[in-house]
Amino acid sequence: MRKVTTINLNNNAYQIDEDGYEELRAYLDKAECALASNPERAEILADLEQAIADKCRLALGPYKTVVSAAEIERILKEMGAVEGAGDAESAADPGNSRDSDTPAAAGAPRRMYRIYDGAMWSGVCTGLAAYVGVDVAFVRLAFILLTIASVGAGFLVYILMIVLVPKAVTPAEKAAAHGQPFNAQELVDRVKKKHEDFRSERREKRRMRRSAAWWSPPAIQPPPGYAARVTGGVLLPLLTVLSAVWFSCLAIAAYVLWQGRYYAGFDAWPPGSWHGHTDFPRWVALVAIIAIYALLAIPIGAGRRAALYYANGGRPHGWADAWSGLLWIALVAVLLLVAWHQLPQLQELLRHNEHGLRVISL
Amino acid sequence: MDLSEKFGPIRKGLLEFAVLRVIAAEKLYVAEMLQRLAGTEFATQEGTLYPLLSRLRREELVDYEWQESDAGPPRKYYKLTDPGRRALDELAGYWNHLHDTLTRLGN
Repeated sequence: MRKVTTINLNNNAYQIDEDGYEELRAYLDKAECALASNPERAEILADLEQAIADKCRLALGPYKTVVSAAEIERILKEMGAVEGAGDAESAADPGNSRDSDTPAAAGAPRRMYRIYDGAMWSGVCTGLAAYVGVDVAFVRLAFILLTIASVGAGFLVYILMIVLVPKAVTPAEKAAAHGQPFNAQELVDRVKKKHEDFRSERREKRRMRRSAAWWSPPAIQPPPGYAARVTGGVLLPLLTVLSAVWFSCLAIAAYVLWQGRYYAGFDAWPPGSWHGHTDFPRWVALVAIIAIYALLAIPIGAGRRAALYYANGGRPHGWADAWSGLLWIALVAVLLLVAWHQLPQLQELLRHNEHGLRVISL
Repeated sequence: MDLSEKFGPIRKGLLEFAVLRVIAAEKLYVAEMLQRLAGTEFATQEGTLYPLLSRLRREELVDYEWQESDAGPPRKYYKLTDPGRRALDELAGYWNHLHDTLTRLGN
């Protein structure tokens, strides 16, 4: 048994499979995007809908009242990608626009997304169910059983998937979440494209390194691809941890430096090279520490901003901001708390080290 | 040498010419145009043809009228306007000129 949806195509009612509906909607949304600057957009869309309706009618008979997803896919393939303004110039590059647009519009390759429609909490289960093609109830049950059997590890996997799996936002992504399983050709194309992406990304990065701004969102923003969003999701927690640890290092170093004078033998901080110069100005050391901090913190911060942008699916702000911010604050708090408790030992260690260095220099 | 790939962009650019040519012969609706073009090098799809026809109409080279059909809803039948006919003559003239040039270049 499959669910059907009734649609109105240019004032004709048709019943189509739910999967077919998703594809059709993705196609029409894409057509609308392509025609965004066309003054006769409404009329062209009505014409396209009418053409689709005519083809749907041909697919139906006296005992066949539902248009299947496969038929919708065939119809959309017949229709072909909608090309912008109908200009010779924009249409002059058929290889490009065809190859990249058609699969996304008419039968996108299947990809793992979180799907919010019908989700309990985060859409992980609905997305996984769509990806493997089973009912969502089975997936939820499997997660619960896995969590019980593995004493909680299943839940950890679930949380990890919330972080790593991007949310299906655009209609094209929603269609891709239900789309065809990808085949070998698709895999080859993707690897090729990824290689090209990687090369152009590297070129872009080199260009950016030369310019003053470390990282700012691209000015013209096509929504980032699946790979970029996953990479952003993976890198964001790593960079957040790195950033928090590095900041804590700065805080502890600055604190130790400032407090140094209250402890015997710390007048000559930092230990080692400056040993014996008790009048060595503390603020110079502080500036040096901050400079060293900035040396690493600026690239880390830039990377984190980039990861945030991609993890948020191409928006400058989003849900990833919240959890990475919380993670950062929590980590810094924990590290500083631990440092606070361990500080006497830390200073003992430094003093010991200084003693050692003194011995070496003698 | 893959000719169809090599001439892809040129065919694409000539599609307007081909469509005007097809419409010039008789009043047609889109499905019929696609059929006429289907067997040829200018085979195309609705997704391309509708935006193209919309532009041609905006440039007042073609116009359509609604006609009842015996099966289904009324259809838009496209025909050439007078400026459209002149434009087609110009296009044909230029095309012949290009052809002559290419032939002459070898001699």
